[in-house]
Amino acid sequence: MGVVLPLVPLLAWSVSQKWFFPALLPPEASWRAWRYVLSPASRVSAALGNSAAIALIVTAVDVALGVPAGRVLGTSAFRGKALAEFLVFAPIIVPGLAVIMGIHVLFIRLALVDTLIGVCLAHLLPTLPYMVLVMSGVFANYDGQYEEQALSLGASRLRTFVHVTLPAIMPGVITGALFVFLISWSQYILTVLIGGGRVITLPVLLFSFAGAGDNAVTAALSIVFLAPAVLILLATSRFLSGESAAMGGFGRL
Amino acid sequence: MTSVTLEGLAKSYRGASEAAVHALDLEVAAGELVALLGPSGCGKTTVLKMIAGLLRPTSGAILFDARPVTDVPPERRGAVMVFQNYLLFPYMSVEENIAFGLRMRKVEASETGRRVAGMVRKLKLQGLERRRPHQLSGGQKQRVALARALVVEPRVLLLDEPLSNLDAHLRDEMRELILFTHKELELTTIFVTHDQQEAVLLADRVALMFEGRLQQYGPAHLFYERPASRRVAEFFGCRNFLRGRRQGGRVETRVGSFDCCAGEPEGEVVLTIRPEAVEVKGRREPGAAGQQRDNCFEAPVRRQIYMGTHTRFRVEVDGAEWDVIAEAAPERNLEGGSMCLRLPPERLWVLPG
Repeated sequence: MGVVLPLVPLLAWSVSQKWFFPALLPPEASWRAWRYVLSPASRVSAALGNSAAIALIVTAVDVALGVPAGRVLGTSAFRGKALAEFLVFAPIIVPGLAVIMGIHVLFIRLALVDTLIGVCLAHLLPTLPYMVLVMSGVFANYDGQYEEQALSLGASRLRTFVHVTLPAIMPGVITGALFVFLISWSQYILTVLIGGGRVITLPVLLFSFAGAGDNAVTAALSIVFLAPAVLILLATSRFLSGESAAMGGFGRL
Repeated sequence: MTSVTLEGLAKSYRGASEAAVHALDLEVAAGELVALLGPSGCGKTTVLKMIAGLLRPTSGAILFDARPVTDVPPERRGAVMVFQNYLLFPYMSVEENIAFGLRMRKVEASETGRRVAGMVRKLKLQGLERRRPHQLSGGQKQRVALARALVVEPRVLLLDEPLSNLDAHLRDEMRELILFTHKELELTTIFVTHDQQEAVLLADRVALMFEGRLQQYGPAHLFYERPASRRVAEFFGCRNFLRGRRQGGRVETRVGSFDCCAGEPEGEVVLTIRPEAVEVKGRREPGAAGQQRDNCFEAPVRRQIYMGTHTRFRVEVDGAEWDVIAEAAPERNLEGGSMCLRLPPERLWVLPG
């Protein structure tokens, strides 16, 4: 309920025409904004595709890197662990904006600016620490003996990972993936700076319409922007609470 | 049936000053049931994990049927380990748990079903097939864990503290089950325990370890009758020790001189005897004052506890307290007085001093 409620005024805005104070309700309904948003001229579908592609790539890379990194940080003690933790989590403390100029220069040399891959790499900056954080929490509560038991019963390393490790950490992986997907999905500044206005994502489009002052289109776009997030949240909420989450080393979120 | 041989098996953990296991030599015959016994932290579970292939030994070799398996990975070694806390996969039903090993070996589904059903019957798990591990009692979990290990027909079965997580009444049941399955399948079995009682009741042979070193290996009764050291005797509940000097067949002590035929050490020695092996002679006969007779001596009685089937005495011997168990009920209370004890030469054992 709490996630659906803010959509109501947005919905009202998106179908309104000349809705000004002190009118309590929009004086007349209009599909102008929606017609525009859904038309190819608005570039919304392209931006939606870009946003989805970037967020999915970023999430996949985060999972691939975050699971092993979280395992090491969560289960083993080694010399220099504190430093490694600091370096991994530093992007949470240091604002991305502070380092993005340096990265920009580097990416220009590597010809990564204005490309989708470049934007994806930039999005790893604010997302990866969260993935590692979530996974190290999961692995801190994880009993590695289950893997030994599987090996002892004749399972290969790969099958042990697929049949034993993965199911055990799945709630954590889903939580982390959701987290980083949404961070990437709503990323604006990094996208604009590295994408250079060439890689158009939904937030980029949204900001330009908000700046132009077209409330109806901004509202309609906001709904398009919010909808996937809300849907994902609803679809995966069962992983975020109750027994399965506790198994992954989590209490109720 | 597979024999297991450990040759100079050693394990040192990185960062630890002392090795967890020191050059361990052990032979387990095919179809034998052997207990690795020792206090917690003595390295017995480390040995078990090395045999299972889950830990790499620092040095030494592990042989199954005289063939080295030290470099064979756990999944192909054929030694299945059952962990102390059972480790049933929580997201799988009882049936799926038991079938796990067969599934991983890509055994055909019909064959898997047949073997799992057979194992369910053998371990009396009927009716629980669809349950999840969290819906099972401790004893049921243990049986599922055992079924899951046995169904893959391992060459060697390794049990880590199989009884320690169970209630007393379940322990008897489980002990019978382990003995029964071991007899029926003639499976070479090595189990780890810290409880000497468990080791004695279950094992054909017991290997006692202290601080990563093997102290004694043999049938259980020898740990009582012929312990290798004072520590071994103490671990098996013996408190009866007497310092002395041995020359030939006699040992001179502060309470007298004793005939003693067993044991090798000469010079400074410690005499020991089981509490139930000491013969109680009641009051010393008068007239023989100063003259010691036939391994007898007099000892002050501190406590006397009547236990129904026997009587337990605490007596003072050379400043220490001994346990003495007499079968017959005493005629009267000897507390505060003294009694005459005889140490039969054939039951006395001599330890290095």
